[in-house]
Amino acid sequence: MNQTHTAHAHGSHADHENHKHGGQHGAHGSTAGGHDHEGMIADYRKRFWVSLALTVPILALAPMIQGFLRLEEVLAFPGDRYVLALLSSIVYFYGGWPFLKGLWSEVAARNIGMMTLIGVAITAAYVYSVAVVFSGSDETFFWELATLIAIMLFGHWIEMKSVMGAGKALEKLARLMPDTAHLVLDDGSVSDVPVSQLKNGDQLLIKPGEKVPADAIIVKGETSVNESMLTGESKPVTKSEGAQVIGGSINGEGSITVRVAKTGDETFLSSVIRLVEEAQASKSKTQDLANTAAKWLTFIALGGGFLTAFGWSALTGQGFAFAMERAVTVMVIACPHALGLAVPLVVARSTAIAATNGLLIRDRTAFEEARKIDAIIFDKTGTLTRGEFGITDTLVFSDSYSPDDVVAYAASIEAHSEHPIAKGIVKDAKEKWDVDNFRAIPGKGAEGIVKGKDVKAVSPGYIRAKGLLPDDPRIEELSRQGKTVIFVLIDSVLAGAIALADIIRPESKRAIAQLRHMGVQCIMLTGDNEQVAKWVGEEIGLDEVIAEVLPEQKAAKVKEVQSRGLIVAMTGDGVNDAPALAQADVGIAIGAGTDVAIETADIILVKSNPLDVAAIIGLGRATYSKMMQNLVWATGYNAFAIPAAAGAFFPIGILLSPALGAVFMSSSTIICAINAQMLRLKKQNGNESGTLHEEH
Amino acid sequence: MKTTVEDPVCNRMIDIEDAAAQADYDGWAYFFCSAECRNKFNRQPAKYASRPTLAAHKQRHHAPRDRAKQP
Repeated sequence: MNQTHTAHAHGSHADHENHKHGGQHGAHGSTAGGHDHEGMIADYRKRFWVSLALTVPILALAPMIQGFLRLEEVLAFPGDRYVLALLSSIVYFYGGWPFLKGLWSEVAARNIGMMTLIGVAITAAYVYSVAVVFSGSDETFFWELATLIAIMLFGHWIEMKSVMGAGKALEKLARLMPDTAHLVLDDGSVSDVPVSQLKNGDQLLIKPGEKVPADAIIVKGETSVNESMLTGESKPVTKSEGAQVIGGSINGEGSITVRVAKTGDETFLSSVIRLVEEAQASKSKTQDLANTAAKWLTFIALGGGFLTAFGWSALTGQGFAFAMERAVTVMVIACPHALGLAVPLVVARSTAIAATNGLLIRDRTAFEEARKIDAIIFDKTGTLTRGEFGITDTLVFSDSYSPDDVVAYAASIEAHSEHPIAKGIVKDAKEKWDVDNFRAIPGKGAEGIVKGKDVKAVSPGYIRAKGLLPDDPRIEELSRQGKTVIFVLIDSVLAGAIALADIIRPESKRAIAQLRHMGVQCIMLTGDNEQVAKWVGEEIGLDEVIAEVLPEQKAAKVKEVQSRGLIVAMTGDGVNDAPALAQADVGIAIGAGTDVAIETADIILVKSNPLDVAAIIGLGRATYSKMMQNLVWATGYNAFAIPAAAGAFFPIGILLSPALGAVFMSSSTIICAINAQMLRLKKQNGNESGTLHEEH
Repeated sequence: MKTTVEDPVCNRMIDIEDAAAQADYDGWAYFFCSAECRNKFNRQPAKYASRPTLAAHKQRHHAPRDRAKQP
C-alpha cells in the first residue's frame, strides 16, 4: 500500500529529534516507514500512563500533600523520603526520557528549542530535589516534578493527535486508490492483481461502483464517473470510449474496459499528493518569522527562568524552593510549542482542503501573497470563454423560414468543415439534412443542394458584393459586438443570418462579480479584436479589456499592468501562457486537467472554472488571517502567562504550579490546532466546504 | 447526414464519406470515386482543379485561440 508521508505540521523540528531523524525533512513522496507518527503517539501514551500510575504513590509520600490531607500518621514512615526519591527517579528517567533525549540532541546540534527548555526545567527540579534529600531535608519538589512530567506527556500525546489530524487529509487522498485491480489477460479471462503490479498498456476491467485503479483510457464501454475527491467536480462526469479516467475516482453505473496509461507515482493522484507535500514542506516568510520568534521566546524563557529564580531567592524572603518552583513554571509555560505550530497547522489544513477541490498550491509564498492581489488578468479564450464558437443570435429575413430552418440549412452545408465557425453552427443545430453537389466558394463560404433548394452559407463580403445586404439595424449591432456573422441564401434569396461568438462560460459573470466584491480589479487579455473584447467585457462585467494582443506580447502586457503599481495575478493556460504566468506576481494555471506538472505556475487549477480562481484567492486570504490569528494568540498568551508563572500575581494570590503551567502550555497549542481545523473553503454556490469528501 | 461532392475527373457525384480516394491541391481537398481518378488528377491537377470542396487537411483551421476569422 502506498504509505504516504502524512504532512505533519511542526515548526522547529526539535520536537522529533528524539525519534532519530536529525535534519530537515524537505519534500519527499511516499516514504516507506519514515516517520511512524503513530508510534510516537503510542510512546507518549505509554509513558504517560506509567508516570501517572507512579505519581499516585509519589503524591501519597510527599510531605506537603500529607500535611495538606493531614495523613502524616498514616502515610509517613522512616526512610520514606528515599522511597519517594526512588519513585520520582523512575518517573524522571522513564517519563522524562523523550524530553531529556530532545535536550541532548538540541544542544548537540546547537539548536536550542522546546526540548531544551523542558529538559532544563525538569532536570533542575529533579537535581535540586535529590540534593535536598541527601542533605536530610524534606523540602523536595518530587510531587511537582512527577505531576509536571505526567502532564507534559499527556499534553504532547494530545497535541500530536490533533496535529496528526491536520495531516490526515493527505492520507485520505492516498487511500482513494484501491489495492487490487481486475486484469484482463490475453485469453480474455480476468484475474485480480495488486495495483502495484500494473504496467502501462495493461487492460483492466472496472465494474460499477468500483474505484479506478490507475490513470487509464476507456477502450470499451460507457459510464459516468465520480471525480469529486480529485477535482472538486461535484457532478458525475460522463465517459465513453477514448475518454480518460483518473485513478482514485469512483466508477458509476457502467462496466468499462480500460487501458492503463499511468501507474504508481505517475498518476494524477500521486502528483497531487506530491505537490501538497512539497507545498507544506516549503519555506514561507510567515513561517520563518514564527520560527525566529520561537527561538527568541526560548531564550526569553530560559533567561526568564534564571531571573525568576534569582529574583525571588535573592530579593525576597521566599526561599530558594519557592524561587525554584517559579522558575520551572516560567520555563514550562513559555515553551514556544504553539508558536512553532501556529503556521504549519494552518498550512496543512489549507493545502489539503484546496487539493481535494482541484486547487493545487505549488508555491506557498505566492499563495500567501495572494491576499495582496490588486488585479487579476484573465486570458480570454478557454478561461472566461469555452474556446469554441456557438450560435448567439439567428436573424430571419424571409417569411418562408423559421430560425431553426435557417440554422439547419446552414448546418447541412457546414457539416464537414473543420472551421471553428462551421463547427459552432453544426453543434448548435437541431437538425441537419442531406446535401448534394457540395462545393466551396473559395474565400466566401460554401454551397450545395439541400432539400432540392440551392443553399449558400456565405460571409458578409459575398452578400455585400451582390448588393443583398439588408438595411437592418440588428446587423450593425451584431457587428458592433464583434460577432462573426454567416448569411444564408436559399434559392438566391437571403433567408437569414447566423451570429456566432466564442461562448462565454456561464460561471464567468459570477466569478468576476465575486472577485470585484473582494476588491480585485478584473482585466482580460485577448488576441481578438476590440469589438469582441469590449462585448465580452460588457457581458461579464470586467474592469478593463486589452485586445489584439499577440501571444508573445502577453508577458509584456502583464508587466505593463504591474508597472501601474499593482500586484498582479495572471490566469491562463499553463503551457501557452507560461511566460506571462511567470511574469505575474501570482501565476495561476487554469484547466490543467490531469497534467499538473506545470513548473511556471504558483497555483494550478484542475478545472477550467473561473469560479475556482475566486475560491483560491478567497482561501489565500482566509489562510493568512487564520495564521495571523494563531500567531497573535501564541505570542499574546505568553505576554500574560510568563509574568503569571513568574509569580507576578502572587501579591493578589495567584500562583501557578509547574503542572498548571504545562496545562496552559498544551492548551494553547490545542487551541491553535482547533482554530486551524475551522478553516473552510467557500465554494462557488456560496456553500462552505469543510469536508474532505469523507462521505463519498 | 449524407453529403455528395463531384469527382473532378469523371464528374460523378460521390458520397464524401464513401469516397475511395482524396487529394489535396492548392489548399483544397478533392474527393474521387476511385484511385484511378485520383491518380489522373495528381498528374494534371491544374487541369481538373475546379469546384473545390473543403479546405485541405494541412490548412484545417484549429479551435479558435485568439482569432475570430470570417470564412
